[in-house]
Amino acid sequence: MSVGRLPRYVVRRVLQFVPVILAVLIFNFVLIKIAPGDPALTMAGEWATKEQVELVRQKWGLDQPLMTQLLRYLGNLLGGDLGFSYHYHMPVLDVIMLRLPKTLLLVLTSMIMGIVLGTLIGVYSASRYGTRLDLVASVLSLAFYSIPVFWLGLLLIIVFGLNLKLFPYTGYISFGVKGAFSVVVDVLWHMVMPSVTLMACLYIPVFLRISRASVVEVMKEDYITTARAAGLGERAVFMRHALRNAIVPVVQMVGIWMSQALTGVVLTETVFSWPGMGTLMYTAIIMRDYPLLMGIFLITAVWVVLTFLAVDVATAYLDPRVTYE
Amino acid sequence: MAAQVDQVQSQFVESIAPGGMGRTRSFWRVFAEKKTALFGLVVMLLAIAVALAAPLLAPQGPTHLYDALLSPPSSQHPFGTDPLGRDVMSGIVWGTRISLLFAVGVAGLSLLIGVLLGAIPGYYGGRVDDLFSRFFEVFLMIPRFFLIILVVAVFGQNIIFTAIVVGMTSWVTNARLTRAQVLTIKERTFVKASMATGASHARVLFRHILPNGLYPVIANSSLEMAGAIIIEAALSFLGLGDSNHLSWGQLLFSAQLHIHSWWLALFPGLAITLLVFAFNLIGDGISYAFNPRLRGRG
Repeated sequence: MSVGRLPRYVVRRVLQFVPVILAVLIFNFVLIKIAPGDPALTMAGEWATKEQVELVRQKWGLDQPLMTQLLRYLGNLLGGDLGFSYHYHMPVLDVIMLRLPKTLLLVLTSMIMGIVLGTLIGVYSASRYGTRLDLVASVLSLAFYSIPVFWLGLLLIIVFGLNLKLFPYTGYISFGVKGAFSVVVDVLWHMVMPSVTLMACLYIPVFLRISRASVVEVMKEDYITTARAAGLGERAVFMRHALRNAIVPVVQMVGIWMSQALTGVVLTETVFSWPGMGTLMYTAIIMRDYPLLMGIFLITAVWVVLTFLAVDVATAYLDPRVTYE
Repeated sequence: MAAQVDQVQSQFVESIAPGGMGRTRSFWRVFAEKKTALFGLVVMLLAIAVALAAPLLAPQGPTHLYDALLSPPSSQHPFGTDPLGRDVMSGIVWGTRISLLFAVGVAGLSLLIGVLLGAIPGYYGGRVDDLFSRFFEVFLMIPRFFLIILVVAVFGQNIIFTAIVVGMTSWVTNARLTRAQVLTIKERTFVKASMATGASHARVLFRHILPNGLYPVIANSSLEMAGAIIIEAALSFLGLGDSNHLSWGQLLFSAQLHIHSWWLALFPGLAITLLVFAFNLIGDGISYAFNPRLRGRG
């Protein structure tokens, strides 16, 4: 694909995203409409006073016709107003923005390490295709992938937190830590167990399997046979031709998991009380903080849409055959 | 007369179709070749046996309150008891029923919706295909886990309702697989032959195309059962489970509150992992047996 055609394609892709966001918005809207009970009360929270409920009713236009309500809702959103979290006594967007960086710190660190480790093992496994080692790697990765993250998290807490007291298992920083260096070390220390959990159950198995499968697949292609026939050594065939062509599925997998960065960590964060989007969602569920829940849902959808776009661009760049026409 | 024509037509079409007994037998041979898939199958059959024999294995039921509270594993309670004095092993035995039924319900619903929605664009192609494919793409981008959490949180925690919600949000993969299969199979000679003999659209689709192209969907259904068990456990773990039905996830939920009693966490989690692993292995085995590309050695 020529670089010159990229913008048109991006525009087309962006246009596809509009229905996604719209679907999420309308879903949110309808959900509150058909939820049991008074929507104003639902939005304001169970412990809101009469005046607060009235305020919400007016602000969202809940006494107006349905179409007006939907337009008012969209208008508020366009102005960056995602509503008010009654549990945190803060605008929903502000609450989310406080939590998002902590989630990204945990997820991105774990994902990068998981991608590197998983791909290395996967490629090595593929280069030993059909051997005992390859079989073991394959079965073990599926076994780890079958472990529920929250269960492994609980076990790690019980063994390494409670009994061996090696690592902290709640929060992301100890109380009263001062000085930039100590803070960084302390945060990293808190990240050990949640990261290991994410890598062991999700990232390493996923990237091991995809990189292994895609190298094995590429090795069956005709051009590999051609390269061999041309007298290229097995090592050169593998390094120069197989790896380069096997990378596209891996990149696409990176995109899929990036898009699930915010949903994939809910359980891990909850187990380790990591103060990110996941625990925020958990709190919002427990407190029935619907404006916050809807805000998280919307922001997550925006995140998904943006990562999909990034993946498409990256794929088009890596694989000249992809044209998206 | 009509029945006769129908029979002749079937014979003719089946003589050139790739299906038939021979394929079923060779499927089992190749599937059994993969020891890991066989292991998965054995575990699944064991789980079904445990679910059926629950009244024999744990006659007191999962909610019987024993005197021993939070007792570690002993000869009387091999997996220990919880803070109310409920036997963890009985809970796991009875929970097998719930996890299996939930998984089958989700995968079944997802299969039904997915195959129907995937067959239409695959069969008709053109604009219909464009429209459906765009719809699948949009649906795929909606954060599914949050959607499920949101609906369950707002509308209450009933396990059947949850299964329906999960099933209704997990059909996209099945639909895309079915679409791709129908798209290629409808060009094959035996399908053209069937069309030429004047068979109706429905007959061509349901008698000839779908039975020959369903294997990726079957493999995916096994993976979906694995996913469903994890999702049920995850929802329960977040406190969104159905407290009237003691599932494996519900057992883990209470383990979280009594973290010093390790047996509460260990055994239900092992049960989940084992069954999920089994379904994943079976799914792998089915794709392996049906897809010759996966079998050829480099």
